[in-house]
Amino acid sequence: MTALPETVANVEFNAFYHAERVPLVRFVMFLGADPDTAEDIVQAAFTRAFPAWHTIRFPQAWLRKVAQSEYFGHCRAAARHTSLDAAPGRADRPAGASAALALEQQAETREVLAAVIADLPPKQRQVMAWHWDGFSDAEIAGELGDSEAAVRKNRSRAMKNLRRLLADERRGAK
Amino acid sequence: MSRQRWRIGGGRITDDEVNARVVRARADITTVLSAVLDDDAGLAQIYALHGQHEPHRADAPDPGRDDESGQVQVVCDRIAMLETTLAQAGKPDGSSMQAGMYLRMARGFLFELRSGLAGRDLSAEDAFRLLSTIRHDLQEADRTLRGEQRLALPRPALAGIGEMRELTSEMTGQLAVLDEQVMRLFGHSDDPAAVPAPHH
Repeated sequence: MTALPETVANVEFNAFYHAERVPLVRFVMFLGADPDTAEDIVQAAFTRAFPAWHTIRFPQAWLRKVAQSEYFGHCRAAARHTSLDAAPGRADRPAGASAALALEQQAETREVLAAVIADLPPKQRQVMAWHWDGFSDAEIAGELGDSEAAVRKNRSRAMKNLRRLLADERRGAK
Repeated sequence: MSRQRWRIGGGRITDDEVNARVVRARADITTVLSAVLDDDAGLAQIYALHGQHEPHRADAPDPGRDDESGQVQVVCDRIAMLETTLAQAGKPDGSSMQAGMYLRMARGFLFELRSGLAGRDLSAEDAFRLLSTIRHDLQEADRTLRGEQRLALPRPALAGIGEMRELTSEMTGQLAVLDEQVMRLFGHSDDPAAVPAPHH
């Protein structure tokens, strides 16, 4: 025997796909994508990961970085055709049985997502998406090419903005 | 409890509240996505794009292939466990710098072995050579530690060296089990110790 069966890497890849697909789609949603766009972006990222799977040492970070880059590319492409709004990936496909429709029913989730997506500047949104997925300031700094201090500052400003936005919403609801 | 608060028109929100709402929103999103995303269809699409067969489905089991993959997974899990142990033992600020260096090298070769097995691009000869190199590094670490135990060092330093040596010895035992598992994967009954370790 000179090499192990092809299924070995596939088993690892499949297991990772099952475990990480949903968290990755959620990550892209917190960057600003609607659920359908986020699903497409994540699928594209996994498709790129597949042939290189055995060379990827930190797949959680690798896939997030690729997905993030795909999403920003998608935003740039959308901006060439329409004016770029806060959620540039907004669905072109019928909502049908999609996650978008299901999430419409969740008022609180909708509020939080709206606050994050519509009102946080892109950099703060980006830092928070990584932060909420459990990455440290140092890791985020490494992945985004920023200093740790810049990440801390963006995180602090994002929290301040979210406190204000959610307080405004609470006041508006009364 | 967070001290930071935002007060506006009688409504105030703390960092803890923001975090709690985000946690709930993330949980809701997870529930919704898990219900609507079809992983099998997504995987099949990726495999098709790369001209490969679809992954195994739960409704179409292939016991032989599953068993083979399962065995590799078991070996990879064991290697990952050894890597984790060595990461602790081989910290640069550990009790013995030189032994730590050997342990870190052993860990690097373990990673190489695991990547090769998982990536199915490792020959039996290379696998056994890596195992032999790892064994060599562990032996060198032990030899170094044994020498340092004879030195007139402060008691805490000697205790640290003793612990490192114990761990190295435990790792050598674990490696013997790993040898057998890797041999079985490749369908070999050769003695892997016969493959010479490359010089560093």
